[in-house]
Amino acid sequence: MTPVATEKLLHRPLDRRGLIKGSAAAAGALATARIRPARAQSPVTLRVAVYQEPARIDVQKAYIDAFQKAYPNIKIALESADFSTYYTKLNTNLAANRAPDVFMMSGAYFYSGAMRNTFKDLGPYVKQANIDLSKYFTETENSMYQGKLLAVPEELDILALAYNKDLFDEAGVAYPHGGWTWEDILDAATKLTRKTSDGRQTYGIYAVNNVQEMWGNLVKENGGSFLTPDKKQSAINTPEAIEAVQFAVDLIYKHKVSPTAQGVSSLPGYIESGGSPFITGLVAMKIQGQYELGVLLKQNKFKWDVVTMPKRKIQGGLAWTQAWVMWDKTQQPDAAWQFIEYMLSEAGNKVIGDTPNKGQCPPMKSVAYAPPYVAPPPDNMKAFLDGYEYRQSFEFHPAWLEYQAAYGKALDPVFAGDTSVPDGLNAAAAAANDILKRYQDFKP
Amino acid sequence: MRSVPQSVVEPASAQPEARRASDAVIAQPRRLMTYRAKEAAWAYLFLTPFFIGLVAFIVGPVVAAFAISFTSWDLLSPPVWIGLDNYREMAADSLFWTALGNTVYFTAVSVPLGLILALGLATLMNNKLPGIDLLRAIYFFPVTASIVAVSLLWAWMYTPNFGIINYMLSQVGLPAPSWLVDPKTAMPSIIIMSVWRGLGFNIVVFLAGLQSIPRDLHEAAQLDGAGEWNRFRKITLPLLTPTIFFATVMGLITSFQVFEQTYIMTQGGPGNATLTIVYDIFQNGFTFLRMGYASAMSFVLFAILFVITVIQVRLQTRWVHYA
Repeated sequence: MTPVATEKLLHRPLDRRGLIKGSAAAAGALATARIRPARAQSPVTLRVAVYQEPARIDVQKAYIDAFQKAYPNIKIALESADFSTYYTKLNTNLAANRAPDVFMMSGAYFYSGAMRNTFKDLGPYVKQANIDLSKYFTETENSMYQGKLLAVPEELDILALAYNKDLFDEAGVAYPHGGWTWEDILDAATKLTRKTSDGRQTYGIYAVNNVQEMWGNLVKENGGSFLTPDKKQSAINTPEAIEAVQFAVDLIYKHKVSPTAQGVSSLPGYIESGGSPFITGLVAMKIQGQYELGVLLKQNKFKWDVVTMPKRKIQGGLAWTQAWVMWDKTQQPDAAWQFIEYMLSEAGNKVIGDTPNKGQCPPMKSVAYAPPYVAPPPDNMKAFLDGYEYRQSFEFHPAWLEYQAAYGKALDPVFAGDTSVPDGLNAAAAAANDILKRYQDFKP
Repeated sequence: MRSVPQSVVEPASAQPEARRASDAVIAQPRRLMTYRAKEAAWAYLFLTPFFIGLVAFIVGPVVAAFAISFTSWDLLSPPVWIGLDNYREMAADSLFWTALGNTVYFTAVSVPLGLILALGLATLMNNKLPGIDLLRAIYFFPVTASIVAVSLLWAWMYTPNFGIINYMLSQVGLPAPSWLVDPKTAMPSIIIMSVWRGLGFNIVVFLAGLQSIPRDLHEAAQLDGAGEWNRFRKITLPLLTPTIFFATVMGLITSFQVFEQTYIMTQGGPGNATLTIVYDIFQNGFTFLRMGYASAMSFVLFAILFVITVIQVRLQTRWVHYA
C-alpha cells in the first residue's frame, strides 16, 4: 500500500468491518482490476430512483431507513417522481448519461430498456451471492432478455376483486367467493345497482376502460390475448377478445350495472377519494391491485374485503412484477449491488412486509406468504396471493406502452357508447399493427 | 440621434469625416477605425451572452432536430439514418392527422374568439372610470398565473356534477354538459379556458394600440357628427389594424403550439378528442422514445406556421393601415 492510500484510509471514519474490508480491498485492488462485489469501503452516495405513488411512500421510507442503518457507508440519494413522469425523467437522464445507479422498473417498461442496453447483467452478481430466484416472484418477461438476467423482482403486482361489504349487506346479496364466474358478478351487480334507503345511487361494479383493472383480464380469461403468439401482430380483434370486451361494455349500457366514465367522475366523493370509484363507497365491486392496498387500507368509511378474480372460460387475472435494475454505466456497481442484495435479503423483505398498510408486496415468497403481510386486513388478504397460481401474462413487449395506449384510445369511444365493440377493436388492432411493424425483429 | 454623438463625443472636426466616410478612411484611417472598432467591440460584447444563448439553446437544437428528423433515434442507442421515412410515415399516420385537425379546430375557434373578446374589453377599459386600473389588473392576472395551476383549477371547475360551472348552470336552469369527459365538449372546454387565460395579454396589447390613436382624430370626427359606432369603425378599427395583425400572428403561433392545457386536463383524451400536435410530439419523443419521428413532426409544425405567417404578412397590405 502506498503511503497516500494509507493516509486516505486512516482519515476516514470506519467501523471495524469496514476497516477490515477496506484494507482487504485496497490490498487486493492492485492484483485484480475488477474485483467482485465487496462491501463498499468508503462512504459513497448511491442514487436510487423509485416512483412514488401515495400507496408506496411509507414502505419506501421504511426500507431506505433500514438500509441506511445496515449500511451507514452508503448514503442513499433517493430520487422520486410520480409514475407518469418517472419514465420521462429516467429516459432523459439515461440519454444524458447521468442515470441513477439503481432504479425501479415497471414490468411494462422492462423490454424497452433492456433492448437499449441500459441495464447491467445481474446474472454474475446473483450467482456470486448464491441467490435462488425461484424463491422470489420472478417473471421471465420482467427480468430476462436474450438469456441475461437484467432485473430482479421488487414486488409482485397482482389483482383481486374488491367488494364493499356494507353495500352487499344493505342489498341483501351474499358475499362473493373465489369460485364466482363473471356471470355471478353480473347477477350480484344487478341487485347491487339500486337506490339505497337513504337515497344514494349505488352501482354493482365499475367497468372502466382500463386493460389492467378491467377488460384485459376478461380478454385473457376468455382465452384471448393482446398479441399473436409470435408477438408480431395484434390479436385484440379476435372473437374471444371481442366477446370479452362486449361483456365489459354491456355492464354499462345493456345491464346498466356500471357507471360510465362520465358518471364515475360525478360520483359524490369522487374527488375526495383521490379518484378511486371504489373508495367513494358507491361502487360495490371493483378489480383492485395489491399495489393500491396502501391507499385502500387507510379508508374507514365502509367494510370491504377481496376475493380471487372471478373466472370466465378459465380462471385467471393479470400479474407482473416490478423490478430493481442497475444502470449499465454505474460508477458504483458494488454499492449498487449491495442495495439490490439488501432488497432481496430476508431482512429487507421483512421490512417491506412489516410496514403497515401493505404498500408493497415483498418479492420473497416466504415473506409474502407469512404474516403480517398475508394476514388481515383485509380479512381475505391471501386472495391476492391465491391468485398467483392462476396468473396470466400481460404479454410484455418493447412497444407494450405504445400499443396499449393505442388500445385504450381506440376503446374510449366504445366505453363512451359511441362506437361498437368490433369497430373499436378493429381500429385498435390496426393502430397496434402499425406500431408493431417497427418491431418485427424483436426477440425476447 | 443624428449628430448628437458626434457633437458630444467628437469635436466639430469629426463631422466632415463622418459625412465623407470614404475620404476619411483614406485621410485618417487609424482614428476612424479605432472609434468604430471600439463601438463594435462594445456592441459585440453586449450581444455575446444573448448570441451564445441563442446558438446553444435555439439555433443548435433546431439544426440538430432537423438532422434527427431523418433518423430513427430512441435517445439511448445511436441514431440510424432513414431518410424521409419519418415524413412518409407521418403522411399515413391517422393519429397525426387527427392531432393536426384538433389543433386547427383549437386555433380556428380560440384565436378569433380571443381577439374579439379582447378588443371589446379593451375598448371598454379604455375609458377613465373609477377603479379601472384594478379592473385591468384583474383581467391581466390569469396571464401571470402558472398554466399548470390554472389548468388544474379549471379541471375542477369543469367536474360534471360538483364543478362550480355546472352548479351555476343548474342554478339558472341550463343543461349541464360533461365538459372534459365527453369527447364532443372536451375541446370546447379547453378552448374556453385558453381564451380566458390569454385574454389579459391581448387586452394589454389592444389597450396600448388604442391609446396610441391620436385623440384629435376622434375629436374631429365628433365635430363632424360621427357617432360612437362610426368612430369605432372608421377611426379606431383601421388605426388598430397593426395591433390586430400583431395579436393575430402571435395568437396563431401560440395556439398551434397548445400543449400544457391538454397535458394537464385531458392527456389528449377522451379517445383522441384533445390530442394536439405538440402533445403528439411530446408523447412520441418522451414517452415512446421516438425522437426522430417527433422531430419530423416538429418540422412539419414549423413549416405550417411558417407558411401561415408568410401568408399573413403578404395579406397585411390589404387590410393593415400603418398611420
